[in-house]
Amino acid sequence: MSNEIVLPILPTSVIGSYPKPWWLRKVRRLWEMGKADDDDLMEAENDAVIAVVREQELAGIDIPSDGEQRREEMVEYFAERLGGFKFYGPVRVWGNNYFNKPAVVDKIVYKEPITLSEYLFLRKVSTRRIVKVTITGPYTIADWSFNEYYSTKEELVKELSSIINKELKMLADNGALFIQIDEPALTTHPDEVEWALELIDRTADNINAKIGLHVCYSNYRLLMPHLDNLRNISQLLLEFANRRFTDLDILKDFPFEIGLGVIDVHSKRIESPEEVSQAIKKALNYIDADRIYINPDCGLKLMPREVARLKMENMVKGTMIVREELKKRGREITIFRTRM
Amino acid sequence: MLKKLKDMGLDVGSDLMYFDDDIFYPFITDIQNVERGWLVRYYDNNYFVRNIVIKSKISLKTTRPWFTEKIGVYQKLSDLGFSEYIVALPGPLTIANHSIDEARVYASKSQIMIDYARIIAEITESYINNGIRVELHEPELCFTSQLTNELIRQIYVDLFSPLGEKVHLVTYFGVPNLEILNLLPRDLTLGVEAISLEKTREIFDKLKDFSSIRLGIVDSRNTKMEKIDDLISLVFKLEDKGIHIKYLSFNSMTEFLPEVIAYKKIKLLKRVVEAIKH
Repeated sequence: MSNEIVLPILPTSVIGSYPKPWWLRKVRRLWEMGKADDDDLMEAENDAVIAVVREQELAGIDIPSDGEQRREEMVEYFAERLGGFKFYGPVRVWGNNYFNKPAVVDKIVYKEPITLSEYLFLRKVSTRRIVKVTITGPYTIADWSFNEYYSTKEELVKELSSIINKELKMLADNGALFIQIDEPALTTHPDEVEWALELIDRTADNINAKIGLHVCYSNYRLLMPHLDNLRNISQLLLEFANRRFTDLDILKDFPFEIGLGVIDVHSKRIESPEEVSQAIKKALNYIDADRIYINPDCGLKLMPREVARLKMENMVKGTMIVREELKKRGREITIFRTRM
Repeated sequence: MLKKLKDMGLDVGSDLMYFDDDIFYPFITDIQNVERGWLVRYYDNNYFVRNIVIKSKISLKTTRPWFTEKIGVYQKLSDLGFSEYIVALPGPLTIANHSIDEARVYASKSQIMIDYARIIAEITESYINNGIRVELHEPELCFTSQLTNELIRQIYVDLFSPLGEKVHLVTYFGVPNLEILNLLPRDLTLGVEAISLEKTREIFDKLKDFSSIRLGIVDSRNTKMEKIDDLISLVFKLEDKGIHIKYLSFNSMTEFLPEVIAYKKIKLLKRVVEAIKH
């Protein structure tokens, strides 16, 4: 009992990315042009992490992340640090947004820990008991890469799953308590969902930490038949604000905690606390408060920083409204669980 | 960019959708009573579009601002000397399946499809009257199983068939099933991807009946380069089966590829054409 970590009911968190301060973007540009060295960039990144962690904490977020200040893009970041990838150039994702889609041209090799130093720095600068580390999952790295090497996609995902398992183990062994695997691609190919989930679950084998799985902009109904097969995941973090809270009925008999997406990260409109509280109450029709975490739909990196800050403040204020109502029923805390 | 593509030997020019966010937007700004909705995945890709929220019965705006702007763009492109010009529009089925009838003004999805089809057919005709061919992006044809003979007749036979081969009915991310191919009018140019055809050889016979086929032989969803000999032999094989291949192209939109690979694949496409001509 004494080892249990207690959180306020409806703990608030972020999905991962947070807008970068202008000066970090400037230093990164200088670094890319060869006009700033590695130390300059690292100093700016460290400062930026301190700034955005503080910003999240001031907004009242219970479980902050480092805002992925050192990452440009979620697949690119990992592909650049593993052997076997090559970059040909950007491709379109939506509207006029592009990403540097890698190609797998050789056997994938794990060279060294990728996120460990990120986590250790975050742990040092955050005042919160729990912080969140995000890792792009094996299926999404595979799906968002061109495969020129492996004979099947499943083979590629297996390789990545085994590599990321080593990374997760390294994080957990160094004290990381909450690791979120990001798999936005998970439902892209309906006929692959079953084996993809199996391999994602295997990625989290024997990891002594809470493992969340983030999926967004997807058909969640494709996931539902396979969720019982997940042994290592305790929380699913899903986007709901973008889809105007349709599909909340999937939370009925949901076997996990839900990281409830209540903030649209593709709109600059700032949701009011009342909207947030209404959204949470809708979810409460399907799932108990003890199993709900509150977060934005997805990473906030595309928002102007001030908009992101205000959205987080209102997300917390909206959560507080519901907490006050729950308090009247004697419900104020939840236990931080690593397994369901 | 277009000049470069012309110099590389591309025969058909377009605005490359440079001014479009995606296949639906800003196209829908010409339609009355719709709004942009939320982000949804575009089939099995890491590529997202905003769906369309229907607020009331849809109709074509009399002013058609986006069409007018596009015509202006194509007038400027006409100096580049491509053999043909083509513009991309959403197919009625595909746009209907990305629409949310929020106000519940339609009794069925079919009714939405038919209303979109009327709008798109009118715009299509206007483009053709301006000397521009139209490619209707209709990947939904590869996934739907709910099309009836009557619906196909109302949409494609009545509205698009009279416009003939200048309408390219382009399917991608798969291939329509035999039942649907049987229903489609034969006088449109049908775009099909060769990768899927290879997997479903029984489709080959059906394609003979179409007067014009646009064959997507180069994969726009993988950087791996195709072997030129494989492509040439595939084209010859299909021609031997009596399929009227009028165009060779990518199998879907090139924006899935990094620019450098897209160029390499365009050059490959041109080499295939030259080899076949000789």
